[in-house]
Formats: sequence, C-alpha cells, structure tokens
Amino acid sequence: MLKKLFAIALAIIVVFPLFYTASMSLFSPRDFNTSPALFFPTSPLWQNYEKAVNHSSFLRYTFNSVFTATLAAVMRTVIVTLSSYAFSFLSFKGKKAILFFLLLSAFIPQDSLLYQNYVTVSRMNLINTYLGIIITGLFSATQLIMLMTAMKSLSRDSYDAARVDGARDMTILCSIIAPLTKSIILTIMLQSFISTFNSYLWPLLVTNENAMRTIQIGVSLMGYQESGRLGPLFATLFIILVPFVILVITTRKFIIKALADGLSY
Amino acid sequence: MRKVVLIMLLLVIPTLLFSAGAKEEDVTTVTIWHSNSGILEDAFMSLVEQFNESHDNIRINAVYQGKANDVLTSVNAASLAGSGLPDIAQLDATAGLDMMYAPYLVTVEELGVDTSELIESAYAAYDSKRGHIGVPFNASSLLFYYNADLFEEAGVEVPKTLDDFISSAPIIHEKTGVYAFSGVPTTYELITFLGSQNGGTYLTDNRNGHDGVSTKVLFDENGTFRNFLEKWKALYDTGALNNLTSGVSNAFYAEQCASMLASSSNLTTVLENTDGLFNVGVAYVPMVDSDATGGVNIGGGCLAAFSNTEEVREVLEFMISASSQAYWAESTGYMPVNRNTVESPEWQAFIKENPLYSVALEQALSSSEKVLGLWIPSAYQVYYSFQSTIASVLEGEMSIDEAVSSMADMINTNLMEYARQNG
Repeated sequence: MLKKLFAIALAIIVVFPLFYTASMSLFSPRDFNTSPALFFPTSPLWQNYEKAVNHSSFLRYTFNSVFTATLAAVMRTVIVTLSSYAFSFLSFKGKKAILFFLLLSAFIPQDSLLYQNYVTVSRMNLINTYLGIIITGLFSATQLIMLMTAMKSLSRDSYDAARVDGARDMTILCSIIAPLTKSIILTIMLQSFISTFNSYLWPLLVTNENAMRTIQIGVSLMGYQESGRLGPLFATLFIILVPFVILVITTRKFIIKALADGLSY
Repeated sequence: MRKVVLIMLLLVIPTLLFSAGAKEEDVTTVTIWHSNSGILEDAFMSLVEQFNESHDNIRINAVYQGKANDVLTSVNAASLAGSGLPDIAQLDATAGLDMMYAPYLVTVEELGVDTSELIESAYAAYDSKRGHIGVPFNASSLLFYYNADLFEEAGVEVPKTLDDFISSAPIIHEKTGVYAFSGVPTTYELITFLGSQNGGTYLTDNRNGHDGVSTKVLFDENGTFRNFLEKWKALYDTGALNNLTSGVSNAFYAEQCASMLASSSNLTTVLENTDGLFNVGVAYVPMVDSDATGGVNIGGGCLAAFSNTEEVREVLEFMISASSQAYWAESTGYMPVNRNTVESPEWQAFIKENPLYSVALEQALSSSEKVLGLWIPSAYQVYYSFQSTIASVLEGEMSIDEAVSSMADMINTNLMEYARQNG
C-alpha cells in the first residue's frame, strides 16, 4: 500500500509539469497574472496554438529539430554499439589506452570545448549544415560505459560458440549481442534524441541561417517571453513536448526493461 | 546492420547538401547578427525590409543570433575560427571589454559614419580609448514603474530618493496590502544607484573600463556601495520590500507589488500586460540621497561593425537615421538616439499621445556622462553576484562591510585574472 502511494506521489510529481504546461497553453494573459495562481484557464484560449503554429518558421524549426535529433540518435547509437562491442569482446593493440582516452571525455565539460569545437566545425565547412549541428554529439562516453557494462555481463560462451561456428563480428553483434541488450540500446537512442532535441547554444552557434534553426532557438526568437505573451509560449512548448510523449509511450516497455536489467548488471 | 548503414547514409547525405547560399551579382550583402525577438524582431525586420526596398545594390541579411550574450559568444567563436564573422553585430555593454580589444572591430571613426545627429550621451556610452566601438541603436535606461492606482490609494507621492521611499513604502504596504517594491538590484540598477552618487561616480577605475581594462573597483573606497546598502537595508526593514529575483514583472502585473525597476525598453510590454487592469506610471529612478544627482546611464545595445566597407557605413547610417529611429522607438519603447527624431513633429505628436514614452529620454538627457555602463570581465557572473550579495545583506546573512569587501574582492580578483591572462 505504502509502495503504491509512493508510486502515485512520484507519478504526480512527474506528470504535473506536463499537465500544467498543457493548462497554461490555454491561459489568457490575465490568467497568468492572477493571485493566487490558477490551475485551469478561466476560459480556454485556443488562439495561443494558432499563434504558435502560424509563426512563419515554426514548421521548419520543428522539422530541423526532429530531423537532427533522429539523425543524432541513430548515428550515436550505432557508434556507441559498435565501440561497446569492440571493447567488450575484441582484443586489439592499445585497447586499454584508447578506452581510457574515450572515457576521459566524460569528464570534460562540453561548454569548455565550445569555441574549439566551433573552430573545428568551421574549418570542416560544416557551418549551416545538419551534420554541423550533430557532429559534436555523435559519441557519449557515459553511454559507452552503460552499454559496455551490459555487454560484459553477458555470458562469453555464446560469443565463443558463434566464433567457433565461423560467425563474423557483424553477425555476432546483430544476431546475438544486440538482441540481448536491445533495451539498453533503445534507451541510449532515446537519451540521444532528447539531448540533441533540447540543445540550444551549439545549434545557435553553428547555424546562422533562419532555415537551419532548430525549435529551441525558434522559441527564443518568437520572443513570447520578453513580450509577456506567455500563452503562445506554453502552446509552443506543449507542441514540442508531443514527440517526446509519443516516444516515451511507444518505447516505455523497453525503458522499463532496461532499468530493470540495469539493476541486475 | 546493412539496413542501419543504409539508413545512416540516407540521413547523412542531405545534411551535406545545406551550405552557404549563392551570391547575387552586383548586390552586396551586409549580414547583421541581432538579438531582437518578438515585437522587437518585427520592428527590426521592418527596418531591414525598408532598407532593402530602397537600395538596389545592398541587401541586409538579418540573422537572429540569440540574446545579446549569445551574439557575443557567436562573434567570439567566429573570430577564433577566423571566418564567418558578420559585417555588423548588435551587442550590449557586456561586450564592451571584448570589443575594445578585438582586432577585427572597425570603430565608428575608422568607418567614417556620420554621427552628427546622434544624441551625445547615447553615443558616449560606446566611447572607448580606441574610439567608439559601435553606434547606439537600441538605447534604453532604467525606469521606475509604478501602479498609479495603488500609489493614489495610499496617498503617497512617487519617491525621488530612497529616503522618500523608506518613508512612503510602509504606508503603501499598510494601506494597500501589497509590497511597495519587488526586486533585488543587479549590476544594471547599481550603475545608477552607485554611479549617480555625488553628481556622478565611476564604479571602477579607467572610467568604468572605457579607457582600458579597469585595475580596481572604486565603490569600496568611495563609500557609494555602503551608502546604497544602508538605504536599501532600511527600505527592506520596513517590511514593504519583496526580495524577488525573478518574475518581478509578473508580480507587478498581478498587483502583488506597487512598483518595480525595469528597462525603459519594457514599457510597451508593461502597458500591453496591464491594459485594463490598472494605470501604470513611470518616473525617474529614485536616487540614493539628495546628493545623488548623476542620473542614469544609457544602456541597451549598439551596432558594431566588423567590415570596413561603404555598404556597412550606409547600413549603420540608415539604422541611426531620424526616420528609422522614430519607427524603432515608437514600435518598441526604446529611446530614439537621433536628435532630429526627438525634435521632429512626428515624435512630438507621438509623445503627446503617449507621454510615458518621454520620461526615459528626459531622464537620460539630464544625466551625467560619468554614469556609464560597466565594462568588466565576467560581467554576467558579477551581475548575479551583486544580486545574491544584496539579498544576503537584507536577510541578515552578511554585514554591510562584509558585502562591500566581498563584492570588491570578487571583481578585483576577476580584473587581476583578466590582466594576467591577457598580458
């Protein structure tokens, strides 16, 4: 019973911001300035959504965000999966040293690399390209640790048996290892999607054409906050939340499994 | 796995298709990185459109580059990369120090911009030992916003000094049941509160950093910070001051406080948000005491040039022209920086209909040129440190002496560190 109550309390804490964002997306300007604060709009103002969606570049910004987040999620997952496999099952010269340097990157704050990354990306002529937006996030040491831990916890017997049968690395990874760790792989993909979708400063820095802007910059450009027009701001935020909600709902059983498996690793 | 590789390839190929646009022949593009969003963006883009329509050989490419500090970050990144700098960037006072030493900056004098119509104090805000780092464009100053209905209900006058406010704030609080004031001062307010004392005082040496990197703060030895903190603490001790560090405007709109300090550029937004709720008044910022006659500094932003071309000069002259400034000021609430705008019949008619829009300009024009924006390193950290230090004093966690020395030490250390790193 206590467990249930705790779970309900936790669910309310997690869901409340979503609910309140939805509610505030229908607030009139006056609803924001009442004291005490309102939970529900006095009368739903659907025009907030009209204003948000009718902004000339809203669709373009949303497309850019969804596209770059998907691209980054797929590419990062592939890179992390391949490297985790290599470090977990293969033997090669300098393995420990390479792993050490890769893991070291987890301890370097991304912000401190901002300027140097910009210089590199600029010299690669990737300013104003989708690849420029995602390139610095194509590898994550934390996710490498996550997946390596999962792979190393698997019995090595099936790997050795497959090897004896003459299976190649790609076959072993795709047919045996990846299916056994798919919950973690999917979680990594989800994490990558969310972190790329939410990034603000880096995409702002490497793009200077309106057509290449992502929705996070778009929200700031629309300037609803400075103008005190908070209704359209929350309507935009709620629309942005939709892909995440869909993603979490459709992948929730994998996430739960990944969390459960994670406890046993 | 092959499928995954194929999907990746399909995803990557289009990413490489987007790169720099084509160049039209005989038309020179002048790129401006700006920080205007919302209604400011609408007004700015209208100006850009007006320029583009009236010029066959020059086209402005206006790019929103985030807030003022984001524009500076982007400019610094592009300068390090050695390419990608815009021709013009809209920057605020926090960029002053960087720009003064930026080898890629073209000063207003080097560019030969005609500044004869500019209001002197607005132009002086961007004066450095190297020349003017930019032309003022979106000029603003600190204003005292008050709920005229609540002040009337309490039967008190708008305070001219903090001493006045210490007397009237408890009356407002008692008679209306709301806080007399909400907010905790940051660097922005302190430039006025400290800089206005004794007829005009600098916060740091080298003219607040405009004549070269400051080497030390002055507000500790000249007693201005102490003087301010004593008055501000006395105001807080009346119980009528609410220490809000965010959401101040919303508290004002919701009539949870009777007054606030904010930039004059917020006037249009404040009027829109309070329309039909209560009458808003704006007034000069209350000074620390009757000797504090320096007034306010002109803040906001300037347009800094990074290309020394005729076209860039032409764009800048257009942006500060009387008609552009009239349009900009009327659409946004910023102060016009062109003398001819102020004297024009159109502006006079606008002011007659919207008298609140004249207060900031009158206040700025009657202020001392010594009350200048602060050009110091780590400006954003200092901004929030001032706020947290003042809050600590009010809440009894720190004595006034400790607060003065703590802020002085922090900024002096930053200045020393900056000098060490930059030779």
